[in-house]
Amino acid sequence: MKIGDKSIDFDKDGFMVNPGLWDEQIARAIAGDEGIEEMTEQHWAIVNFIRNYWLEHDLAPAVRLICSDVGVGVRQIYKLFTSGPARGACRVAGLPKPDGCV
Amino acid sequence: MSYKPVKMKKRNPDPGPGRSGDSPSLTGAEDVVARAIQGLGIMHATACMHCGFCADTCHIYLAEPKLENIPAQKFSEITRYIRRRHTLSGRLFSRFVKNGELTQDVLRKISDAVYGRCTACGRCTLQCPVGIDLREIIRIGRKMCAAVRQVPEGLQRTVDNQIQTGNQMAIPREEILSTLDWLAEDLKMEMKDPSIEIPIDQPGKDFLYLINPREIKFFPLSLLSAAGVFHAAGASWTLSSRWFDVTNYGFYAGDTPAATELTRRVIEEAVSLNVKEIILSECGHGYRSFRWEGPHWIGQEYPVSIRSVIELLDEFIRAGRIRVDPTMNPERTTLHDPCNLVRLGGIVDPQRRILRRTVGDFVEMTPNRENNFCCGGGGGMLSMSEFGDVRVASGKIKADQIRATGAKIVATPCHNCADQLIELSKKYKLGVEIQAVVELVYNALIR
Amino acid sequence: MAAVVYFVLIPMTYACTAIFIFSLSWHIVRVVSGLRISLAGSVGPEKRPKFWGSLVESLLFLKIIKTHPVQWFLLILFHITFLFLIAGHIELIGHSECLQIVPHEIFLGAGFIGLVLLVNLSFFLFRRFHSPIREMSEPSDYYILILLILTVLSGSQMNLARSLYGYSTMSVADYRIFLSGLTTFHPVVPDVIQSGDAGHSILLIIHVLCANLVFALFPSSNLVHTILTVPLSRLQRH
Repeated sequence: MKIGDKSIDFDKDGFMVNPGLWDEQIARAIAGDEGIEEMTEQHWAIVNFIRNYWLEHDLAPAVRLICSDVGVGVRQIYKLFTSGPARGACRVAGLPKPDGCV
Repeated sequence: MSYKPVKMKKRNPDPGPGRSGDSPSLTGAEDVVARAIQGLGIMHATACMHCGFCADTCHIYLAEPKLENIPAQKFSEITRYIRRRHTLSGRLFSRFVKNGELTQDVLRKISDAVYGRCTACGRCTLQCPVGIDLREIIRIGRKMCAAVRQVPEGLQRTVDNQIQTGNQMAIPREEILSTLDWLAEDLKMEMKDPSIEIPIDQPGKDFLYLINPREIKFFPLSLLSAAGVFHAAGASWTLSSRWFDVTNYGFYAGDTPAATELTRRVIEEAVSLNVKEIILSECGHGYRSFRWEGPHWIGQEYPVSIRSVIELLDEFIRAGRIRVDPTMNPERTTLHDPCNLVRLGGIVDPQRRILRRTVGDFVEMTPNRENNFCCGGGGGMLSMSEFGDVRVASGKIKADQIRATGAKIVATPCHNCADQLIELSKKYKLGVEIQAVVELVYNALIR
Repeated sequence: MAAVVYFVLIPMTYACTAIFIFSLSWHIVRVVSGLRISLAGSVGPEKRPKFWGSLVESLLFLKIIKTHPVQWFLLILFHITFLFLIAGHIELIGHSECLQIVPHEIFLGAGFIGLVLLVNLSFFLFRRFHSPIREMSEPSDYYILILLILTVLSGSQMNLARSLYGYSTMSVADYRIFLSGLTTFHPVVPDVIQSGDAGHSILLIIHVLCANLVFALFPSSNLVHTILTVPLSRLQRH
């Protein structure tokens, strides 16, 4: 898929094959696919936190960490990302698919 | 009944990325077949007369009517091998024909068929006029692949995670404890009751509640709701911070040693915590494996009883231990029946009784109960990205079923199905919200 | 020619019947001894069906009655006519009072049995030519079917020839001499067949040849498993 001037490959679950290529434009494109009309400040706060956590730990953060760091209620996250933190927010943040039952 | 301490089985080192390493020997797979065809197994494996009646029972075939998606066709390679190796005529003529030889290539085909084109939902078994247990033959194929480590990468990684760390998402213990603390704080606020706690590792309680690691890591609302409902019912319960995982990816992979190990750990934990009962969180294959397959894996009856939380909630409501108000859930709600819980688990009516009491406008989708279609995410599909396109395409049947009900909320007593349904709602623009049954009960609680 | 006729009618018939009986008993022994070992998949919540209930369900193919009514009807018709066919052949061995409760001419069914079977079998065969079942089918699915069609075709032709075209030189009595000879182990080939005078004795040879092949091949085909699996798997399941 062509986004901006980069051609990006996605796996069959829609996660980025090469997470290193991620940038804000790609995040917006994935968010569009998620059905998020506009990336608000809160969206960005969550996505950036996930991204930085992943860069540091090579792991997707648990939802508790997201909530306490960004300061959103747990119920709020599912309103912002209707697919939830894993298939929604992590995907927008350009992470590979988390393992297991998600 | 005494239980020996859990011994961690030594497992082969991780073969690295890509397909699991080609093992030079296929004897493992051959042994699996030799064991599986004992008794009536051989009859089931060779009785298919290719009548094709199973075709239109399969959601994967209906979504994509291709030859290789017909249930009976998915195990044709397995049957050919069995016929060549284990029947009289096969043995007589095997030196003249190559048909049915077991090679790496054939095994790869089997692997693609049994993991990638089948969710082992068992709907075809209901239809077979001959009474062949098609699902069981698919499971033979999965066991063959697992025996020679030919399991698709994502699924194998999940099994390894689960064996090595005790939970399929490899969540560290500190993370579990702080998440539970955090949830307890939230729950105190929501229920306006500072005395609420989420008990961890407390011995001597009535039941041990097993959860899906997904409830810790990504979707804590169902755990929060369960804790709230248990508190309201005055239940005596505990979680375990060690072996708490209700899922069993060894079962999905067909890796019986792993599945046995996972079962034994939990039973061990229940014995050491001295609980009367194990309550399984809403999980289809978890129920199937703990309730029905587990005793056969570990080779003895459990010293504790096992129930699904659905049965427990049903009991709470019927006994009046919690009071619920259906007007709290006014939106039209339908119910998805997880195959492993309903068709293969036998829990059919409790969830319906619960929903009729807790939801204002409850509608059934058709077909339902034992005859329900798989959502497409079963059989470990959700952990295998390589088959993501099949998974989403085969969910079209389910999406159409949901759309026909006009429901706004889909309740499903299975976290695995929930993930798939969330994705279906997005892909097929259903605009529905997916909720666990316990969440609806929690919403309807009269506090 | 006489040697071939003799071979097909007597030694081959005995040999094929022996193969049939021995392999079938071997299968049955294997199934019964296997009943103790439970299929892992049969572990589950299903309630054990009542003995007769499950037998009726499996013998009447109740599973497909709703989803494929036409095929179900043909399947049932096929099995019922097969029973009539067996009764008809018993009457060719010797006179039987209990089968003559409703008096009828021999062979039973006045040609209709063969016709119905033929229609059914051709349906089963042509169904196989239709995609996707054509691609699913394996050679073993065809040969029994084709042999059965040939058997029924030659058999019903014998019956029709006798009543329609006046080939009455070969009578019921001749068949009885042949078949009762076989069953009492004093095989004789009636002169009328041996001499080849009767125009349709060649049909008898084809009929017996094909039937023999069916007998010999049936136990090693997947059909035998199919038939044995039907009631047993239902009975064994929890």
